[in-house]
Amino acid sequence: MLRGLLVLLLWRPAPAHPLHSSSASLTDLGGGRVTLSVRIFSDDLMATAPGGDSAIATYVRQRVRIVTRDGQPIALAIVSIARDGDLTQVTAQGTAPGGLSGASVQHAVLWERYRDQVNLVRATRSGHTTTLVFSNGDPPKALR
Amino acid sequence: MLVIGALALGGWFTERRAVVRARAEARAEASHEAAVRAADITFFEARAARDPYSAGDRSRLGSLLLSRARATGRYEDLVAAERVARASVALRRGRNRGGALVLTNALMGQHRFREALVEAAQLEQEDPADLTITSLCGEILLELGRYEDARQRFARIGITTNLAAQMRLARWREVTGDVEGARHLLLDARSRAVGAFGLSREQRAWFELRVAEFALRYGHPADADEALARGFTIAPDDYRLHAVAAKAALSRRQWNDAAEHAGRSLDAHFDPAALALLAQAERGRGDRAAAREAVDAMVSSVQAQPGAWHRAWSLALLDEGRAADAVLAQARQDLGQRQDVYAWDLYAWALHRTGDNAGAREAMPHALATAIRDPLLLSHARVIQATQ
Repeated sequence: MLRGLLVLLLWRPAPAHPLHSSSASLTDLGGGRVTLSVRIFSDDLMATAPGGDSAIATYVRQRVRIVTRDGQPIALAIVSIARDGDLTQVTAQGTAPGGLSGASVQHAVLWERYRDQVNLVRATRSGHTTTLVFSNGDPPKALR
Repeated sequence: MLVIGALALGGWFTERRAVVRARAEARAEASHEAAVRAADITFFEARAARDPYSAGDRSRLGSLLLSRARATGRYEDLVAAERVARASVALRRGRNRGGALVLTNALMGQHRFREALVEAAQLEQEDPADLTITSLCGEILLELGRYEDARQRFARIGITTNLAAQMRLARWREVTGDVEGARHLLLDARSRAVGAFGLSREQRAWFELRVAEFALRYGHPADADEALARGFTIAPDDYRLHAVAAKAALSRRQWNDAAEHAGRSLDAHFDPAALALLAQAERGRGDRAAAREAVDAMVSSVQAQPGAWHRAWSLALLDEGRAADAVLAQARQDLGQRQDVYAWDLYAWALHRTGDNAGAREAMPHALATAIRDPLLLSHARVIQATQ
């Protein structure tokens, strides 16, 4: 209870606004292995892809697309769907013989739900991370 | 020479290992704190549902939701905290200081300062000697630009060990131009927060954040770096610390570091202001396309907001040369609600950026009326003064 009181007495939260965003991490593990982890607010996800885990898996595979340098889509196998507070984290793995070099990605979850949905992809290759920003309707982007 | 070099390298590796270990422990502890908080929220939600007359359970639930809103920036938690705090206060106004405080803080978090003042003033009336409440009223009055009323509150706070009162007093001193006094209070509060009982990691990191922001604002980047390093040891994934670290890196023109910190901040919590930081970093390292994408996303996100825009967003839009007329309209509306120095600064800067420099010249003195020495405001004043 004392901790609760201290929380109260100290300070207010930073100004908050209803913002719409989803973040994903894309990692080149080497040896042609790729892992993707997407975080989406659960209430939005349930409203957009009702029907349980299989519906979520199908939705994420449709909405987050990775294409190799040769133009081949990387097939993603969903390995886990986990709830963490009000977020759902979907983790997938794929194989790309040449890794992510020259690949392009598109992160388009919830674009059909919110016009102002902004999605991010943090892509890591050889220990170097870049952040790609996707506004609603943006085309796939090459990994830098 | 080789031996000295080897020893130095060994020392560096040892130190680096210690930092990595400390951050891993901090992450585990922060994750544990978040899990406990989530379980507590579930527990008190159930209790509140079972007992429709319990003001205490609703107050506690509101406090937990407020805590999560602070840690994650999640808007829905702030709204939920207001809702349950209102229910708590409606059930029992008397002897429900906790419920009223949650309600006040939830309103402040939504920038509804006039409503917050009504709640805080009632608390003040109930206990005029409570420095936490006195300083809370002072802070709200500061936000509303009612400086004489704020001065009366802060004059009642002398030397205090109350961390909340001390941090608010620091803000008052800064706004009224006593930068050194504000710095002294911030550093003292930070050092006492280290040993304070019952503070979460997020809360202890907040003191480092405030010190870092202040140091960066007043041109002491080494102090900012030191506070950021301490903050990251406490809360390695704190999105606010990463945003300030991005600003610090930008000020040093370390574009890659700035992009990394801005990206990590966005990854933890989406904030259009962090997109502006990412855009500056991308532009700095020569990727104009990436910078434009980040700015476009910022514009789209800010323009979709139903209420008042965060001032940091408005300034970022102006500095990017985007939506200036809309920012001016927002600034004018904001000024109708509260007349603090930052509202005047934004209004003056928006006038300047939309070509009305004469209007900006009239407005800018109001922004400097408290003798504030914030370098950003002073730089706006200089540019406006120098423009024909």
